[in-house]
Amino acid sequence: MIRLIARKERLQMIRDGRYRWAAGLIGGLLLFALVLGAIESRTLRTEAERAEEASWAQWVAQGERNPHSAAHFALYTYRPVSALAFAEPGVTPYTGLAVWLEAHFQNEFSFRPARDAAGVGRLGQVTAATVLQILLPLVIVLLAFGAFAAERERGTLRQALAQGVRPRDLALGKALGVAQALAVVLIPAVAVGVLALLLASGSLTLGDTLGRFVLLTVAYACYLAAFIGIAVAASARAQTARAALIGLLAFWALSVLVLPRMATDVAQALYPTPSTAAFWEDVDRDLAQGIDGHDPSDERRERLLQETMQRYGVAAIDDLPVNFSGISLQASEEYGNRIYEKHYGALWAQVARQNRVQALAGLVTPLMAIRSASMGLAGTDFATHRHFAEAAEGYRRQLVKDMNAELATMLDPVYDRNVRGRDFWAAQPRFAYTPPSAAWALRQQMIPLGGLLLWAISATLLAVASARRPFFN
Amino acid sequence: MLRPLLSHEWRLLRTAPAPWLALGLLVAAVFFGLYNGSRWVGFQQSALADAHATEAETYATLAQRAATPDDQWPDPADAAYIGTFYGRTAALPPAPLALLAVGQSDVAPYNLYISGKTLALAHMKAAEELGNPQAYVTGRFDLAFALVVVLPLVLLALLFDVVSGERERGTLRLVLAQPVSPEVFVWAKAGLRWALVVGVTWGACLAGLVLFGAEPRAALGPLALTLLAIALYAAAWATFAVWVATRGWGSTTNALVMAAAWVAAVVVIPGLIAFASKHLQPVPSRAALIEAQRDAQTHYGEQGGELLLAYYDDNPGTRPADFDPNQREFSLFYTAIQGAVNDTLAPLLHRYEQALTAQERLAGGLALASPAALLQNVLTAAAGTDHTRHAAYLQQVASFHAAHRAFFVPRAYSRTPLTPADYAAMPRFVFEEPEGRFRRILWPLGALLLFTSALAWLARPGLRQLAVHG
Repeated sequence: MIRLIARKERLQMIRDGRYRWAAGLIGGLLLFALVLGAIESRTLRTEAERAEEASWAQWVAQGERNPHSAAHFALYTYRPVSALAFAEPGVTPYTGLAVWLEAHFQNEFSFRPARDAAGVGRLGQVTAATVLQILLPLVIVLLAFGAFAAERERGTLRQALAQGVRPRDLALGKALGVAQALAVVLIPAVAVGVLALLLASGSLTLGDTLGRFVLLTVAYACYLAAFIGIAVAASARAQTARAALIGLLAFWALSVLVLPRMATDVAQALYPTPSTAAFWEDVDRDLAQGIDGHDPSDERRERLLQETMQRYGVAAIDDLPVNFSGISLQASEEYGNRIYEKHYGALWAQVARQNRVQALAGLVTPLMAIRSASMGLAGTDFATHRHFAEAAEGYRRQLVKDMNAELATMLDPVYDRNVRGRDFWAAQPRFAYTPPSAAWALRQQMIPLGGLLLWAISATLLAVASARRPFFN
Repeated sequence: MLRPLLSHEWRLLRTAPAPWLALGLLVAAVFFGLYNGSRWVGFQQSALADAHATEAETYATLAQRAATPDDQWPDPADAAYIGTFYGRTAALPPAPLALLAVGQSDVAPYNLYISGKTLALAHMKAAEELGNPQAYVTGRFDLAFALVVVLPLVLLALLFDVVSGERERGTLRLVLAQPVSPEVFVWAKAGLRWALVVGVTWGACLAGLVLFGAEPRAALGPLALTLLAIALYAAAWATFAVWVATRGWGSTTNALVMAAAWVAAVVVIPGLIAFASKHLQPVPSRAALIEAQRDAQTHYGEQGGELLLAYYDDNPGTRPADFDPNQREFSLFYTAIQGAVNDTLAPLLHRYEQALTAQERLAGGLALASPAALLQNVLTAAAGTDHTRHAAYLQQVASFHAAHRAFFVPRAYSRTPLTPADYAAMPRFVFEEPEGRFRRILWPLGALLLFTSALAWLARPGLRQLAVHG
């Protein structure tokens, strides 16, 4: 019975001129966004890979110099572009392109792409994610607002119910009909998406990426199901088709555009992050005066010198069998690392709290749930960025440590005579990054995915319940 | 005939709860937007105040030590070290109406630390704000958002059935049987609702500006133009609603068409404009800047002595007696190398700014396709969070960087010690507002007027033959 009703609904919609217009426009926009997204993320990826190679080549070709100078020059590493960024760019425009892995500093990523783009783009980006998250729910409202209300106004609802059609079947059939009409638009898009994926991802990561793609499909299915359920329920409950439509449009506009910005600002107000100026002021203070001002840097150095001389049983720094600069630089590096852990830890924890508020706002508006889940599963969210930033920082620490260890073995009192060259630089390990797995991403996104599931189930139940007690006058 | 018509309409509006609920939402959105805008302005101001305070303390200590020499490090008289490793905050302070629109002010650097190192390096290190990238994806709820996105929603809710509702209730033929032309009837109904929304928005904006401590008196002209732009933007939507009304569709179709137009104007078209301008006027990848900086650094890294010799040849009498090009003096050589690297990179750095200016100019032209983009441009221009003001800032920063080096380099190369008087005379950065703010506001404002007039012209023939039957 459900399938029969769905078939009738689907046919009726497909024959409606308004549907053909909407489906053509939205479907076209979706394909356009996917193809251009694929081209754009390919350009970004190629550029990042090229620049990464160039950075290594510059490191190797830096010439003869002291290992500590090399640690200052160091490397840049470019953040990778997720294979799914073509559909969901997420934070890609808002995180810096690259990070400088230099001695003494855990830098932030610099050069956000959004900085080098026209400001009007902040109103909206034409991406597949935008189409799916913002525009498709409008199509659902168009398709579903009359599901019950229009039949009631024509008088066919009474007839159908009088013939013994179960209200549940009617609600589910109508919902399924809307879903089938949507599928006409979505299936070609999914096909293009899979094609773009196959072209974009390496064979090593393909399985993982497909896993993420499947999870994304499920998340979006829940999101769209929630809107279908709500629309069918409103259609059954409302006194007129017009009232159903106005109510649904208000719900749509508030939940896709207005409430998300509110949630974001509330999250920022609840868990503020420091300004760049204040952040570095605090870091500099800790570096100079010791964490919490207890251990100034010159005292730390003096203590280390005494310990080192004691260890080697010598009375003067010049008698040491090692270069004290290397030891002292590494000690200050390790002290600095603790300071960075404290400050970046606090900053990132605060950002994570903001994002949890955003994910929880997914209980108020399904858009916030799908936005979190979509970015998370596509590997373009903050948590994935942080994963990369932490891996890059781990590499920086190792590289600087290796340079300091090398310096410690070089005994010439003149800094510029303690040099290494090309072979030594080329022999250093390269930064190899493994992005987190689909399972990791899934674990990060439990709140928003749970929220989406809750939306989908409760909206379906609401539709069924509303169909049992539809409005009749 | 117009007066009884208007007073009747007003009675209808006044007694129905829905319009007041919608207007209440709009007022709340305006206040929330201004509150968020003022928080962001406060954030920037306190960041700049922090930076200035730290800097003042640092230089006060150095100047003091320059007056009473000691043997501590660093030597405050060492022009090479102080000029190259110490810098100044080049602050772009929020403009008086900055709380109107966040614009690009959250991604564009406003607090660059300018030292004798290369200008490119100032852009590479700690130039951008930290913060949550996921918050940027959704964007801030500023006044611009309340006006560009929420206002048309409220207006369309009041207007979608302005004629179709009368037709569906059967009252349209009664009204048109009166001595009133369809044009006057429709424009009066739409005009009243427009005036109500605009009046409420103006009131909320002015009250909010006072409440959240803006300094509108410093920018009365831009404020007046902003209010005018709000009225024109609302007029564009009201006229669109009138055009829809002339099509003779039912209320439900009207509502759907308006919702689709709204999402197209506020999300899709701005996105397409950004997309088109990005691809027609691309800004080159910043990876090229990073690479060029490092290449130049390696290239000049061993040439400090030669660079200094060349300077001494060009400026006779400046070479210190004990200068030895083969004896590397760290700060002195480093200063010379940074100068050479900076000169290499200056044209490249400039190219990014030029490309972005071209892209913004194109986007400004394409904004004609959406009144939402036009209003956004008016608001960011009035708020001083647009590209033009930032480009002026970057240009002034480049001049300041040159002035900073021009002050320290001759003293450094000739090993002239810095005196307390030098500390008082060091250049500081003060941002000067660029000319042409009114022009930046007037162009999108004029375009809005054009847009609204075109819609009104489109609606004219349909109004004369208003469909009475559904």
